[in-house]
Order: sequence, then structure tokens, then C-alpha cells
Amino acid sequence: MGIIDRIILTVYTVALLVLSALAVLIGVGWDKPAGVIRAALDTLNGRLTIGALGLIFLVSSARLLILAFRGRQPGQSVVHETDLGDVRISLDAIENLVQRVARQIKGVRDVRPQVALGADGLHAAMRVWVSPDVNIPELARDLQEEVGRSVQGVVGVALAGLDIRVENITTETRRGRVD
Amino acid sequence: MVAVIAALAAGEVEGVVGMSGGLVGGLSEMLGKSSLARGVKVEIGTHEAAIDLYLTVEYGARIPVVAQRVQEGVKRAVEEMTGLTVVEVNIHVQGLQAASPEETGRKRPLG
Repeated sequence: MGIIDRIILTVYTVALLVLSALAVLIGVGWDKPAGVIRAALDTLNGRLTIGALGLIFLVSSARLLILAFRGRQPGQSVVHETDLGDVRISLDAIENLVQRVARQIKGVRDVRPQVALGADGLHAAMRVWVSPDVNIPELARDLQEEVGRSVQGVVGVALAGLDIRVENITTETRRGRVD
Repeated sequence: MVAVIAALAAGEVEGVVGMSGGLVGGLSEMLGKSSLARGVKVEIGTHEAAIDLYLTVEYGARIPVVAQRVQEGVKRAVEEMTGLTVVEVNIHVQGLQAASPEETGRKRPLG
């Protein structure tokens, strides 16, 4: 679920909360909201507003329902075909691996990996934040070796390329100290 | 039922941390789908079955090796218990997760 859908879901839930609370209050006998709605129905602008609100709810309900039933998007994956069936390793899983391995290397403060399937194989790119006390070419070489080795070992596929981009040199840790 | 057998068989394989329910928000789970069979998709004919498994694998494990064990274990379990011929077991590795004892220990409150 993307960030936009999360926002929609949050707003949707809060709006429903408010509406249901209003409905309860109206049921108990608070007649002002009903009066406001009736008054709004008498003007064109009011009707448009109510119609638009209804439309927004309709669209977001439909979207959330579709999301829930469509299931997770397949996403891209590395495929090994075996006698017993396919083994698909999602690129998310590989990114996860790259990140964990890279973070364990001394001098690396933070890593944002991105893995993609190209025509010639699996490519990884990562943005790294490093400590000020490291030699960056050496660190980059270590990173490439370590990450390449563990991807080969864990996923069973060699990386066709591994690009490193040093985003910044920093002393602060951008992540929590524990996983 | 086949899905539950497959899920249990997969969960017994070393290196498998869990199944990832293929559905966003778990809405369908709330609608009554068995959570035991989470992350399993099964296609069953009269004599044959094809199974898709959505797994989370332990960080550090060799995925092809784990996947092969899962395929074998699931195929054996399903064939023995149901008599269906399993034509394929497709593995979808959705993520990696650390499964060290100290991590599970940390989550558990003391005492």
C-alpha cells in the first residue's frame, strides 16, 4: 500500500468516525445537523458540496476495496526455474539484503539501495552516507565486494553492476541504532 | 485444506521465517479466510495441484537452497496427505527477515 493510499485510508477512517458520531447524535435527538443539511439542500452550492462529498467517498471506497482484493502487486523478481516449479525472489527482498549487508560495513552511516533488472542482469545502485573518517574509494570497493558476494550467495545470481553514490559525509546516524 | 498443509510444511523448513499474506491490509483475512493458509495460493484439479507460496526467508540463508527444501517438503506433504500429484510449487520470496534467537528474545517481555 503506497503512501497515498495510506493517507486516503486515514482520512477515510477519520471522516467516517465524524460522520458516525454525528449520526449517533442525530439519533439521540440533536436536530441541528439535519437542519443544516436541509438548508444546504435548498441552495445550489450546498447541493454541489454534498454531491461532491458523496463522490469523494464513493471513489475512495471503491479504491480501498479494489486494493484489498487485488492483493499485493506482483512486482519484479529474479526467477529461478526448477523442476519443482519457479522460485521468484522479489527485488524488495534483494534490496533488503543489500541494505543489511551494506550497513554492517564500517564507515557506512546509512544506505538506500535500489535494485533493478536490466537486459544483462541484476543491477544494484545505492546511495550511501558515510563517516568522515573513511577513505571513500576503499569503502566503495569493500561495499561492492561484500554486497556482490552476499547477493551471489543468498540470491544465487551475480550482480551485473553495482553503482555507489556517496550522498554525504556525516557524523550523525540517520537511522535507529538498533534494527 | 491443501493450502493449510502446504503452509505448515513450508513453515517447518529451516530458513523460512514466515508467510506473507498476499493481501493488502488483511481485509480478506478479516472476511474469514483462514490465517493458517496465509501466503498460499492453490490450484486444484481432480488429480493434480499447483501451489504458490509467498515466503519471508531468514536473513543470511541461501534462498535457492531454502526454496528447494520448501518445494520438496511441500510436495511430499501434500502428495502424502491428499493423494494429489503436485505438478509445481512456485516460491515467491517477498522479503528477508532476521530470525536470530536474541531478536525474538528481545521482543518477549522479561518474566
